[in-house]
Amino acid sequence: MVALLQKRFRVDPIILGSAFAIIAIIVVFPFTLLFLNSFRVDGVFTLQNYATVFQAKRNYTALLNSLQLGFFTSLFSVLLGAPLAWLVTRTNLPFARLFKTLFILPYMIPPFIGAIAWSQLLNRRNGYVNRLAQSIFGIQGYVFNVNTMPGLIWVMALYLYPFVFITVVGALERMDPTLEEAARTCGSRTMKIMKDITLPLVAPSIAGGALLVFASSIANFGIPALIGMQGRVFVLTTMIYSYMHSGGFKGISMAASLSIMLMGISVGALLLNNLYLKKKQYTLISGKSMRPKTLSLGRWKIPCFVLACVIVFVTVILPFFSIVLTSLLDAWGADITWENLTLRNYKYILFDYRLTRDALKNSFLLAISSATICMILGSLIAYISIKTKIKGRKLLETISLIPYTIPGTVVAIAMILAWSGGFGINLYNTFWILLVAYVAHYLAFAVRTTSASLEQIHSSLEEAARVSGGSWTTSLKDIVIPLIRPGLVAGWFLIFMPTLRELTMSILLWGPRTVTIGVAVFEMQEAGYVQISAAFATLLLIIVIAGNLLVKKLTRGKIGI
Amino acid sequence: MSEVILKGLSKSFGEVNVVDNIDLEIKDHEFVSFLGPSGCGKTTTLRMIAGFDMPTRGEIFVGKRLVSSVKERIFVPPEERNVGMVFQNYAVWPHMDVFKNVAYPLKVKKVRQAEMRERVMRVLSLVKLNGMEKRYPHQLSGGQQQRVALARALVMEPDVMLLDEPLSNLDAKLREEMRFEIKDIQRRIGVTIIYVTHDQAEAMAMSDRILLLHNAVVQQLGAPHELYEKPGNQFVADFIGLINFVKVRTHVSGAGCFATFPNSPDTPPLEIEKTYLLEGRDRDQILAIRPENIRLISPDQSLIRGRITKKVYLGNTVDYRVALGKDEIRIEASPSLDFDTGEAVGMKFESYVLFDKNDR
Repeated sequence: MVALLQKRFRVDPIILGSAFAIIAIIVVFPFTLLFLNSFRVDGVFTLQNYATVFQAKRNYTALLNSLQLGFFTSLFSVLLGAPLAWLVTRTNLPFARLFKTLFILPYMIPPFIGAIAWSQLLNRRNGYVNRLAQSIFGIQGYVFNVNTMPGLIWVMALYLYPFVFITVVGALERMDPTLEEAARTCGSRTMKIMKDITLPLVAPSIAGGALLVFASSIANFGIPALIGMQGRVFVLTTMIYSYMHSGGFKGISMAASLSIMLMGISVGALLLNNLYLKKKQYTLISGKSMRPKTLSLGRWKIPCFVLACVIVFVTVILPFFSIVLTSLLDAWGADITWENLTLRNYKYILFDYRLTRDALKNSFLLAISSATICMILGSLIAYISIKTKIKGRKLLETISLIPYTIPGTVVAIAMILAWSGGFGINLYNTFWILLVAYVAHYLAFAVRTTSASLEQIHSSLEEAARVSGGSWTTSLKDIVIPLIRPGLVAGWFLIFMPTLRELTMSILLWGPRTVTIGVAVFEMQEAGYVQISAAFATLLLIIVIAGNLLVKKLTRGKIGI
Repeated sequence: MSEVILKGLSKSFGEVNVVDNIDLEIKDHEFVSFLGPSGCGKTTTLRMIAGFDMPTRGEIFVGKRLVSSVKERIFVPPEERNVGMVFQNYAVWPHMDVFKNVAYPLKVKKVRQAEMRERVMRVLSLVKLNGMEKRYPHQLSGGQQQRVALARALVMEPDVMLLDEPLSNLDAKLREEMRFEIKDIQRRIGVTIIYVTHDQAEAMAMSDRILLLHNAVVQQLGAPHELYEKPGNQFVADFIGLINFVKVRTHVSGAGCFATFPNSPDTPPLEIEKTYLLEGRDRDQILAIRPENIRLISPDQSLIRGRITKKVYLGNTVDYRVALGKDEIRIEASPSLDFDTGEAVGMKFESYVLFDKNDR
C-alpha cells in the first residue's frame, strides 16, 4: 500500500506524513519540553526543582489535599453509584428507566456550574440552605460551610459519581444471566447470589469507575477553584493556577514541577485501570444481551423509590433551581420576593456586557474550529493506524490518545512553555494557543470515534473501488468518508460540547481578547457578580442540554445522555 | 488480446516465500483456477495481478501490457489495470443501491448517463437482477449481493475478471447454482477469468485449466481431467479426489516389471507397465490408486487378496475398507456387489500411478 502510494501519488505521502508532523509539533514537543524543564535549573539536569517544591509546606499540603479529595470522592462515588446501578438494572424500582437517565444527568452539567450552585446553596454567609435553616429553626450563624474539604468532596462526588454508575450499569447489563442462574440451581438464595456471584463479577467495573473518578477529581479545576480557594483549601490544580497567576519565572518552574506530579498521579490511575482492570472486566462478562430477571423489592419498594427521588432532587433539581433562581434575583442576599425578581441580568449578559458577548463569540468559534480540526486530524490518524501499513502507525495513534489522559492544567502549562516565544513562536494570550491546547487535549475523542467506524469497513470495500477505476482519493471520497459519516458527526459533537464550556485549560491560557464562556463565568463569580454569573451559567446549561438532545437525535440515541 | 502472463512471479515477506516463482500464460477467454489449501499463495498471486500486493520478483502482463515489473520498476496501480474483481465478502458498498454499485466503475470513467444506464441494465439482466436497481445491499440475500459484485466487475468490460473465493460464503445449493451461472456468463461474453478457490470440486467443475499451488510453489498446471487422472505428485493426487497410497518396491526382471508389497508379504508381485518405472532397480515407491479404480472380485479370481474390515452404504455406491497386509485400502464399489464385513475378497487394480517415495 505504502510503496504503491509512493510510486504513483506524490500528494498522498504528504497528506499522511503531515499527521506525523502535526502530532510531533502539538503533542510530542510541548510535553517533552515540560518534562525536561521540570528537571532543569540554569541548563543543568537536576532534581532540585522537585526538592524546592516540597520545601514549601503549602505545596506539600496541596498534594495531600489532592490525594484526600481523590480518595474520598471515589469512595462516595462508589457508595452512591454502585447501589443505584443495581437498583435501576436489577430491581422492580418504579420508573427505573427514567431514573437511569436522571442519575447520569449530573455528568452533563459542567462541574464549575455545579460548584457555583452549591456555593449558592451552602455558602456560609447567605447560602439558601443555611438561610432556610436559620428561618425555620431560628439558628444563629451557619449550619453548612461549603468552602471546606468535606464541602469540596460533597460537590465533587455529586458530579463524578455517574462514572461509577455508568460502568456498573454496563457491567450488570452485559453480565451473562446464566452465571446467576447456575448459582440458583446450586441452591443459593437471592442475597447470597448477590454476595457470592454478582458482586465479585462487577467488582472490577466498580474499581474501574472509582479510578476514573479518582483521576478526574484530581484533574478537576473548577470545583476546587470556586469552592476550595475561598476557604483557603488548595489542591494541585489550584496551586498551579495560583503560581501561574502570581507570575514570574520561579512561579512557572514551580508550576511545571507540580504539573509533572499531577500528571503522574492522574496518568498512573488511568494506566492501572487500562492495564489491569479493563482485562478483568472483559474476561468476566459476556456480550450477551439477555435481560436478567429483576428482583422484587417487596416492602422496600416505596423507601427505595423515595430515596431515588431525593437523590435526583439533591443532585439535579436543587442545584438547577438555585442557579435559575439566583439568575433572576435583583439583589443577591436579599429576601426572595416577587419584587426582587427580574430578567435584567439576562438582558445585561446578552446585550450590554462586553465580556459575556465576547466569551460567547470566542467559545463558539473555538469549539467549532477545534472540533473541526480534531476530526480532520483524528480521522487521518485513525486511517493511518487502521488502513495502512506505514511504520510507526500504532505509535502515532497512541501518542494522539495520551493528552486526553493528562489533566487539562498540565496540558495548558506545556503549551505555555512551548508557545510563549522561547522557540520563535509566541502564541501567548492569543486565540491560537487556546486552539492548539483544545485540539491536543480532545484529539483522542476524534481518533477513537473514527477508528471505531473505520474498523467496521472491510478493506475489500476500498479495494473494490480501486479495481473499479477509482484512485486512492476517489475511494476515500466515494466510499470511506460516506461510510464513516455518522461517526464523524458524533465525534464532532463530542468535541464541540466540552470545548464550548472548557474552563481548566482556558483559565491559564486566556488573554484580554480571548475570554471564553468558562472563564467569564469563573471571573464573574470570583468578582462577586453572583446574579449575572448565574444568568450566564443558566444560558450555558440551556446550550448544553439543547446540544445533547441534538446529538442524541443525530446519532439515534447512541451518543449523548 | 486479453491474456494474462506471469513471469517468475514471487512474493516474500522477509525470509518467508508466499509465492515462489510462478510462470503462467493464460489465454484469451480462458477460465483458470488457482487451487490449493489456505496459505498456499493463491490469493496473494491474485492480489498481485489486481495490483493490491507488490511482487518481490517477476513480471505481470495483462492484455499484452506490462503492468508490474520489479526489474523495470513498473507498477501500475489497480485502478489503471482494467481488471474486474469479485471479493470473497462481495464488498458491495452498503451506502449505495444496486444501480449505484454497478454504475460506479462507469461513473469514475465519466461515461455518459444514457450509455451508463444502458450498460448497467444490460449486466443486471445478465446476472438476473432486473428490477432490483433501487434495492440497498441490506435488502438483498447473500446470493443477490454476489450477483451485484459480479455485475459491478462485468460492467467495466475488464480485460480479465479476478474472482477471489466468490462462492465460499454461500450455502451449498446456491453455490452449485452459481457455479453454472458464472460459467454460463463467461461463455456468453467470453471474458477471461482467474478464479481462486480451495474447493477442488468447484475448480474441477468450472475451469479450463487448474493451477494447483502448495506452500507457495506450483504443484501442477493442467486441465481438470489431467490433474485427476495423471497427478504429477503425491500432493496433487491427495488434494484432488480420494486416493489410496500403498508402499511398493519395484524392480525389473527378464519377465517384465514388477511391484511387491512390503506391508503385505503374502501378496505376489504385481506386474506393472514399464513406463512407470524410474531409473534404477529395486526402488521404494508409492502406488497411488483411486477407490473407484479397484474392482472387487471373488478371491479365487485374483492374486491380490484382502479382507473387508468396514462397509458403509452411501446410496449410489458402497464404501469398503479392505485390509491388505498392514495397509487399509478404500474401495468404492457398486451397491449391486454384495460383500460382507470379514469376507475375503480379491482385487483388480485397473488404473494407478506410481510416485517416487520422497516425492511429496
